[in-house]
Amino acid sequence: MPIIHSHLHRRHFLAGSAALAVLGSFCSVARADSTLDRIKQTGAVAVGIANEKPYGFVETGGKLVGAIPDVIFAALEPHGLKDMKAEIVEFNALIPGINANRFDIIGAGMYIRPKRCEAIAFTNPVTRAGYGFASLKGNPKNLHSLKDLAQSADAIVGTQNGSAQVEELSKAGVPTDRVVLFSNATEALAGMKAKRVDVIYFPGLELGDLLKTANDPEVERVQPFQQVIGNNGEPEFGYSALGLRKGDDDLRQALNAEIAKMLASGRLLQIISKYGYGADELPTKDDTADRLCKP
Amino acid sequence: MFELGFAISLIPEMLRGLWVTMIATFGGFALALLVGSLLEAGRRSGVSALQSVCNGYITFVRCTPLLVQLYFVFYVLPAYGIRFRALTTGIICLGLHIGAYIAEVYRSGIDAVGKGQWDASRSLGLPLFATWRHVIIPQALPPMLPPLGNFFIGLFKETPLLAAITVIDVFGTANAIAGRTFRYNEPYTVAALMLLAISLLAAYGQRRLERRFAKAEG
Amino acid sequence: MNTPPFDLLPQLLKGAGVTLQVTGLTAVVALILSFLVAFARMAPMRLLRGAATVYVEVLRGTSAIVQLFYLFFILPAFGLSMGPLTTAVIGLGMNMSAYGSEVVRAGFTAVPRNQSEAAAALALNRVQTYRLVIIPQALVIMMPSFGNLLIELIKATSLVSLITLTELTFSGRQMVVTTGRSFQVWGLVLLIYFLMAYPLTRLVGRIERYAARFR
Repeated sequence: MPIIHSHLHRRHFLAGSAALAVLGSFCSVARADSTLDRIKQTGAVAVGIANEKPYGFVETGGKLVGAIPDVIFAALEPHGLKDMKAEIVEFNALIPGINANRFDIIGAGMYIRPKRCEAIAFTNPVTRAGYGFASLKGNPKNLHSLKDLAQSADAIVGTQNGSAQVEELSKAGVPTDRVVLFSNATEALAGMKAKRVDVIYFPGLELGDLLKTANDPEVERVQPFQQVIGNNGEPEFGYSALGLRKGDDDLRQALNAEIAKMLASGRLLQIISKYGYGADELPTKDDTADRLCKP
Repeated sequence: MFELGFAISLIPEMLRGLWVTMIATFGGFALALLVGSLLEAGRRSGVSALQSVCNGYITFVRCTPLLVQLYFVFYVLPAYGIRFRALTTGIICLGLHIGAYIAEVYRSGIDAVGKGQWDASRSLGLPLFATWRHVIIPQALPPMLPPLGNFFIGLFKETPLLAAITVIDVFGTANAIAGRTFRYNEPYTVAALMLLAISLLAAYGQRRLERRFAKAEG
Repeated sequence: MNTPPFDLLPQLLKGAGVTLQVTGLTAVVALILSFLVAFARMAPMRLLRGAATVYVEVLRGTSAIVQLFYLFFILPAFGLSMGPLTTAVIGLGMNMSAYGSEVVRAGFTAVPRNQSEAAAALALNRVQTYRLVIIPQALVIMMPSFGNLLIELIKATSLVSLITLTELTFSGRQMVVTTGRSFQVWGLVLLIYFLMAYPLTRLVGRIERYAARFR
C-alpha cells in the first residue's frame, strides 16, 4: 500500500519522542543527598517488607508494625523520622528492590549471610533466633533435625525461596529434589497440609506465629528439634538485621549507634518482646555485621 | 552486569528445567485436545443439560485467568481430597484451560464442512459413526491444524506460570537460582533465550503448517 | 461455608479496582503502540520494518510473565527503575501491542483495493481518502479482534501479581495469608474476574455481529 508510507515518517518520530518523554518522567531521578539526609529532611522512610509475622507486617488498620519496623522507628525517631511507609514485596524481591531504590531499608527480618553481604549492607543484628520444623500432627516421618531429613529416603521439606534455610538445607546434605520452594510460610503450610511436603523448615519465631494464626489441630510444632551445630560446637543461629544499600554508610553508622544504645539500655528487648522474642533472642555485643558477613 | 561464565554454568540446571517445560507442554496439549473434543461432543450431543454444562464450562474457563485456576486447583482442592503432584496439577490445569479454547477450533472446523457432505452421507445410508469417521473428520481436520498449532505455541508460552505452584520448569529454575545467588540477570536471560529459541522453531513449523493446510482466503 | 464471606469483599474489590485501572492504562498504551508498530511494519525504510518485525516476533514469541520479570528485576541494574504499576503497564502494554499491531495490519490490508481506487475516481485527495474511506472501514474490521485482546488483557493482569502489584490476584494471595480461608478467597476471586470479563465477551459478540454487516 504505497499511499501510507510517506506520510508516516514525521508523525512517527514525533509520536516516538513523545512516548520517550512520558517514559522518562516515570523513571527514578538520581538522588543528590544521601538517604539519611533525605530521611532527616522529609521525616519519612520507605521500608521493604514481605508482610510476614513477626518480622514486618501491615496490620488490618494499615499500620506498619513488627519487630524490625518497630526497631527502625525507635532508632530513627531521634533523627527526625515521623512516618514509615511499607513496601510489600516477595521475600526474594527485597534485595533487588532495595538496589533499585524502591525502598530505603529492608525491614523484613533478613538474616545476615555472607552471600547477601555481597549484594547489600547490613546493620549490626537486632535479633538472634534458631530454626524449627512444623509437621502434620504426630510427625509421621519422625523428623527432628536436618540430619534426619538428609538421612531419610523420601522425606520432603518445604521452605521459602530466597531464605537462609535453602542454604542450610543444602549444607546439611538434603538433595534439591526433596526441597520444595514456596513464596512464603503460609503457602508452605498450605503445601504441607496438602501433603506435598512432610515438614516445613522456618525460623522458630516465624513458625510460632504461623501456627498461631493457622490455629489448626492438624499441624504441630516439632519438639524436640535439633538445631544445626556450627563449626565451633555451638548451635548456628540466624541473625536478623536491617538491610541497606551499599552506599548508605552514614545511615548504617547512625543505625548501628542507636541499636547499640538500645541493646545496652534494654530498650531493644522491650521492643522485640512485644512480638514473642525473649532475652535469649538478643544478639551479644560481639555479634556484628562485619563478623557475620565473613564466609 | 552480565557474567557470561556464570550464565553458561547455569545451563545444565536450566536444561533440566526446560525438560519439565516440554513435559508440561506436550502433556498439557494432549489433554487439551482430549478435553476439547469431549466438550465439543457434549455441545453437539442434543442433550440440553449437557450442552448447557459444556457451554457454561467453556465460558467460565475463558473468562478467568489461568493463574487463578492454578492456585485454586493446587491450594484449595486438596482439602476436598483432590490432590496431584505439582507438575501433574499444572498439566491438568493447562489441559482444562486450553481445552476450552480448542473446543471452539473443533466447532468451526466441523461447521466448515459443507452441509452437502452431511446430506450426501445420509442419502448413501452411512451410519452416523461412519459419517464422522470417513467423511466429516478427514475434511474438517486439515484446516484445523494451523489454529491447533497456534494453541500449542500459546500453551507453551503459558508454562512459566506453573512456577507459581512450585513446578521447577525452566522459569521456576531461574527463580530458584535467583533466590539462591541474588543474581537475576543471568538466570532469567538464559531462561528467556531458551524459551525464545523453542518459540521461534515452533513459529517456523507453524508457518509451514499454515502454508500447507490453511483454507485459501476467499 | 456457613456464612457468606462478605467480609472478604472490601479488600478483594479494592484489588479488582486496581485490576481495572491497570487494564485501562495498559489498553491505552497498547492501542497507541499497536498503531505505531503496525505503521513501522508498513514503512518504506527497511531498518524500521526490520526493527518492528523483531519487536513483534520477540514479544509475541516469549511469555508475558518473562517480559514482566525482565522489566521488574533486571532493568533496575541498568539504571532504569520503575514502580510496579509503571512496569506492569509498560510490560503488558508492549506485549499486547505486538498482537495489536498484527490486528491493525490485518485491518488495513483487509480494506479492498477498490476502495482507494473508487475514492480516487471521486477526486478525493489522500487525506480525505484515509479519513473518510479507508480508516473507518479498517477500524470496523479491527474492533472485534481488539475486543478479544481486551478480554485477554483483563486476564493477563493477573500476571502482574507476580511482580507484587496489589491487583485482584495479589490481594487474593494476601488474604489467604492473613485469613487462611483459601476456598472462599479463591472462589470469590474467580467469580469477580468472571463478572468483569463476561459482560465484555457479550459486548464483543455484539460488535462482531455489527462489523459483519459491513463485510
